[in-house]
Amino acid sequence: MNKLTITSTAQLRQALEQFYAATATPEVIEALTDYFSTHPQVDAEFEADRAIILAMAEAASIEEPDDMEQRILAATCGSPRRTMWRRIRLWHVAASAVAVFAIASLWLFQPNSDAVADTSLIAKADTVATIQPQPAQEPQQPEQQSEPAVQKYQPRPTTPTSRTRVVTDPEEAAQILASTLQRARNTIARATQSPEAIDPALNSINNSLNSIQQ
Amino acid sequence: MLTSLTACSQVRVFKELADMPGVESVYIGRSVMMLAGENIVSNVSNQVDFDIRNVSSIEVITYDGTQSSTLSTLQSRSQQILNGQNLEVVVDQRSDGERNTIYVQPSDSTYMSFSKIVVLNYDDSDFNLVLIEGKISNTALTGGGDDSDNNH
Repeated sequence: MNKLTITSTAQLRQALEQFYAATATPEVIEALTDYFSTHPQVDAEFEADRAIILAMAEAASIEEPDDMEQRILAATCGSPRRTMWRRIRLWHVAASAVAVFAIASLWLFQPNSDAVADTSLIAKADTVATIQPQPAQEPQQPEQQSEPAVQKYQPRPTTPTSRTRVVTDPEEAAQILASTLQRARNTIARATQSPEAIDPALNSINNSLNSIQQ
Repeated sequence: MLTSLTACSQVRVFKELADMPGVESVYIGRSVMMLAGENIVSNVSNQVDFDIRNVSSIEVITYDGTQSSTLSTLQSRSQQILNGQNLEVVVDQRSDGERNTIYVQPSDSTYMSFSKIVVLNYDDSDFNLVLIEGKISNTALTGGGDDSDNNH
């Protein structure tokens, strides 16, 4: 069986139409891949198609590693061994926390332990330092700041930026197309009311339509 | 992902205008139209009167601002770009600072279909430019219309 080869733009268009309509055979897809692989410079019209075909070919050529399933399981659920160790570590942490709390409770909550400790300390001291009362200081007035601590929000001056939205939803694309054409029709309808705005090209279109209808 | 990839790689006629500050643009690539299912095609068939999968790309440039310099730049640069596109004027309506122009590039001398349709509309505070490329039946433009412009 001869290998399918694309040699003309017409063939290329036909193959692409089959590809997008999901009616292309594996041979056609292979021919498309071969064509775009061997033609790095294509017309701008086919740049997008080239990117699609080559991206799909590249994705198809990636081989699945043997341990893919184990890797996915390890990355998502974790291996059984790792889970067991994690559980053991959690028990260690919890047990340590309980032990520390129990020891601290025994030392902190002994009855009158503070009073006994204070008396013994005073008895052992040679001198008792007295604390001289300090003259009451006038409460310091907060300094008048030249600027408030929290400055009033002032929006930064912004420069308008361009924004391009790439539509990827066919339904939205269809609606944009329909509304654009409706706008064009409305413009033509308005212009029809002022004959001086109509170009002879429009007359040619109307004439051809009339001839078809007849 | 593939759609975005291809859309960005396709040539855009008005990219220079789309990159101007304050300008908003919409781009629809060929692959998006090709992926439109039968239900979408049938839903809009009564509005567009042809198979939308024959459209290869749509570019929409809009500016809704008060920067007169941006508006004048958009008007002059768009005119320069359109002059280099081998287009024919179908309708050119100008009144009170408003302009509505439709350009086409016929696929052949019979004007049965167009490979490009450009709808240009602007006034003192608004600029809209739409380019439709592909194989568009002429019934898309002459399929009817009303006076109410409710698309914006």
